[in-house]
Amino acid sequence: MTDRHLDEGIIQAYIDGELSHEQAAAAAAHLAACEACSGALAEVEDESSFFAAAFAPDESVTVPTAALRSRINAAVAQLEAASESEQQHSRRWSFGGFLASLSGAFAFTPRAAAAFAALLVALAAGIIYFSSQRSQQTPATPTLARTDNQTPVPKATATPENVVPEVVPPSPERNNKRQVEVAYRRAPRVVRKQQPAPSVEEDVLPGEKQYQTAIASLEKAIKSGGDQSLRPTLRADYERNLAVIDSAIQQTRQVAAQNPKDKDAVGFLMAAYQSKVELLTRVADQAQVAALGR
Amino acid sequence: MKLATLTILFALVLAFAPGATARQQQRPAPAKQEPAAEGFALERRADAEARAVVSLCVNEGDVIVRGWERNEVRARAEGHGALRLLTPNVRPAPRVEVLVSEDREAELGPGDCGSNETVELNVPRGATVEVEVRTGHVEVSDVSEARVKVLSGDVDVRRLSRGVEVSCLSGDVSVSDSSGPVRVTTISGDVEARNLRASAAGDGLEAKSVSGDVTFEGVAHGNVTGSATSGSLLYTGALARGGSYDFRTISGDVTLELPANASFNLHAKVVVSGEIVTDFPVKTAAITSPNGTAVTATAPPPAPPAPPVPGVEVAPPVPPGQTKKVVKVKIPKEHESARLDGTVGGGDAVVNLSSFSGSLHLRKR
Repeated sequence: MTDRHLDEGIIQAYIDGELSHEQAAAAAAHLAACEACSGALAEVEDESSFFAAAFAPDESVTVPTAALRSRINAAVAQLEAASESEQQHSRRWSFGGFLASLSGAFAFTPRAAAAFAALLVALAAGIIYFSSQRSQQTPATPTLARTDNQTPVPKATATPENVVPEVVPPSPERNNKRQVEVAYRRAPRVVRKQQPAPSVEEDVLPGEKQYQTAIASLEKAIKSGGDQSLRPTLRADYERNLAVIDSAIQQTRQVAAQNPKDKDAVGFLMAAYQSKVELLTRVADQAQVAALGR
Repeated sequence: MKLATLTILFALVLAFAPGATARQQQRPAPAKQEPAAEGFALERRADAEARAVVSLCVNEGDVIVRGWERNEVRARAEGHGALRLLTPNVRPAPRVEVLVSEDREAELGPGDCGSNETVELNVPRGATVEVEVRTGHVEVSDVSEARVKVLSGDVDVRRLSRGVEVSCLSGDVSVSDSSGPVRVTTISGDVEARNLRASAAGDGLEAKSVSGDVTFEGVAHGNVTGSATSGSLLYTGALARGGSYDFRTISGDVTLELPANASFNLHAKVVVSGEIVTDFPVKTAAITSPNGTAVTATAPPPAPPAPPVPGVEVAPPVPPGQTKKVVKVKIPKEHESARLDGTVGGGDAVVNLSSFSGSLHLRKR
């Protein structure tokens, strides 16, 4: 790592998650402030994605070791033995075996065969006639009736999923709600035992404490999501914007604290807090999704 | 005896055959895969209501949604993998959930979010589209309503008739030629809102960015709100009669480029630094500094020179007949804030401008 810019090795290690916690934090801070390095990060990440995609088929093929190969051979041999014994067993007891025992019945003379065939055809015709009569008398189910009425059959809509009786409404918001509920079940501490609000100064402004509590809670949720919830470039972007908002909070707070009756200054402070809450909410949402591995 | 046995067996087989056929008819027809168009590896279709809700979640990949005249949803994907349309057991479907995965064998279920290079959807024009993308660009056009959430990627929305809602963490957002309520939020990226109008009374337009710039051009909503933290705001176009416009930045500038005949009440304020500059003659305006003194900025016919306020610079009165009149208010360091309130024209709209440390500009087009 140089004083001015991060070298490519550090950036690659940052992407791969190979840096220590301190080094990663230092790199993240630098990336948040340095556009050149965040640009380099984006390039390296694109290259990594490209190579990952290119080698994905090869990586998905596992090369069996000798031990694995011997285990596979043993399993195959066991399977073959089991299959043979099963065949013998089925020959003895199955319905197929019963039919096989009747194979002698097919030793017909040509005349007997012709007579038998004629009898079978007559029998089959009779059975089919009675079956069709019976099916006509049976009222069709609404589903079948509807299908018949739909003259233009959907080209590719008749998928098995179309008959799923009840589909969860596909609203992403609802999905998110579901995820949040699950996430809370998995990590109840996030909800039940919120960390105490950060120590606020004595001259805390009205409404400020609520924002600080919310921010502390969201930051904890983001931390619990782990480092992998955001891609490195996105994380650098997030931290850069967080720095922008924090700077805005600091500036507006200074003025608002000097004159708490200045509604405009207080309004700007609250707007900056609101922006931070919105940013953290978005990232915390993503962290929860990542934690669920959706 | 043998013949009798065989006859009975055959009869049994035939007797069960029609039942089996009937059962097969009740089963859902197997998913038909249309021969995909060139460039697309997968294609699925489903009949849908004209105002169906179509949703899609993509982890990585671009999404293109286009409205068409058919009451049918067609999904196509460029990359190999799995593509599925999930609908309730109703025809035409009121809801269609499009599911994708990079894994061909994936068993996709409700709420799943997979990846594909590009997913293209054609949906009924009256449809509402809900798209969520983690990494990738999104384009939506010619549908009724869209709700788009993107973590990293640009969003382009065009020709929507009933409303737009976009939330983006990192990426630019463009919304154009649409009507209905519009709400756009991006953290790191620019927002462009062009040729937008309300479709019902009360429809608002709200655009917000933290570090990006926000541009409004040719919008006809009666209620427009823009805000940014470090980015700047630019509004170009006419103001609606009775409209309300609220623009606020912390460290960026706000610029309004309005027709020469614009008519509005102005409430402009900068808090710690920056300046208020206007091309418009602000009638009965007052420039107030924290010490309570006030000056008349401009008022045709020219009023007698106002007593000077320390640190506040006001352009000298312009002789009658000159069209351009500039008011420039600089906030000196010793003053915490300055405000410019007044009326331009008949005061048909309300314009609130504020910046903590940026400048405010009102320009004639």
